[in-house]
Amino acid sequence: MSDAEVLFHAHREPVFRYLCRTVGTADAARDLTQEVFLRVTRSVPPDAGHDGQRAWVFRIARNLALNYLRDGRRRPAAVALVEHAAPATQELAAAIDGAVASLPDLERDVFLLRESAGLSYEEIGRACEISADAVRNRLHRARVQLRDALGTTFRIQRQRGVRLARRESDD
Amino acid sequence: MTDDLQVIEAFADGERVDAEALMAALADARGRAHFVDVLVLRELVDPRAGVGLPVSGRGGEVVRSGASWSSRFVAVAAAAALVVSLGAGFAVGWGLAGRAAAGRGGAPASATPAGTPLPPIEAPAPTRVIRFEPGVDWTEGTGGD
Repeated sequence: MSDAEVLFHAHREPVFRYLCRTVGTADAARDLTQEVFLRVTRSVPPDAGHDGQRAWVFRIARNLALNYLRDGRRRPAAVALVEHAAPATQELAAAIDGAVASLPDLERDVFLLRESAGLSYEEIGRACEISADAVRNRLHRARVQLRDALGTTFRIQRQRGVRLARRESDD
Repeated sequence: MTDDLQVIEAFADGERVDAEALMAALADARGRAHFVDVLVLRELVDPRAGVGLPVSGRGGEVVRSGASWSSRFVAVAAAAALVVSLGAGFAVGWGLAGRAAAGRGGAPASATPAGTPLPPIEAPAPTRVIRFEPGVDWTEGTGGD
């Protein structure tokens, strides 16, 4: 199996999840995911170990997503992940997508690379070309802003209870 | 305080943090509340509840839509019920057509799907009887009279 195939099988799902949240529609995310791995196939992966290669794949994904949003002057739509959900879930998902979409680009990307893609701070820093300290700061800002934006939704979820989620890299 | 909260976040994110700094951060009620907030936010943004990516390539053609097995079962059951009802409707219609043909005295090649003879169907009783009277001219005339 080639390097590109290994990267495809290892990262296609987190790349798709990240793109879904970033560009706002599942169809566009699928197209962009294909484009990401097309570029991976045409390139030589950096000799930087698993984490470095993952960060490289996500840097490609992030750049494509940013181009997609800029080219069409699009904003992430609040309908991306709610297409197949139950009505009550649709309302919740729309609120979450709306709150995420309201974040500044870098905060949004840092947050989604952590929560949707499961990247470490170092990997996020490589993907976004910022330092790990900057990742920490941006992530904190994003979380505070999202918590405040979600308001009631957040409080309801807190009443339902919480659990420690697994990291993507633990899979 | 922001530094303390960031230590808590880093811990929640699986990053290696200084144990003393974490203990100090969690000693504060705001720190503990923030730890819970990070987990709540994670639950809310759980991406695995969303739509999936159609996979093509080696390793299996799998579409992971995120739909539950129960919803898939309902969809399959609905499709099966549709097929059965269409088949039953066709069979009933086929049988009625055969009976109607038999009632007209015809002998369709396949009066019933199984070829079994059907009992004759009686014509309905007349609702109005017109008596023929000798001497009346029944031919239509022109002019409307």
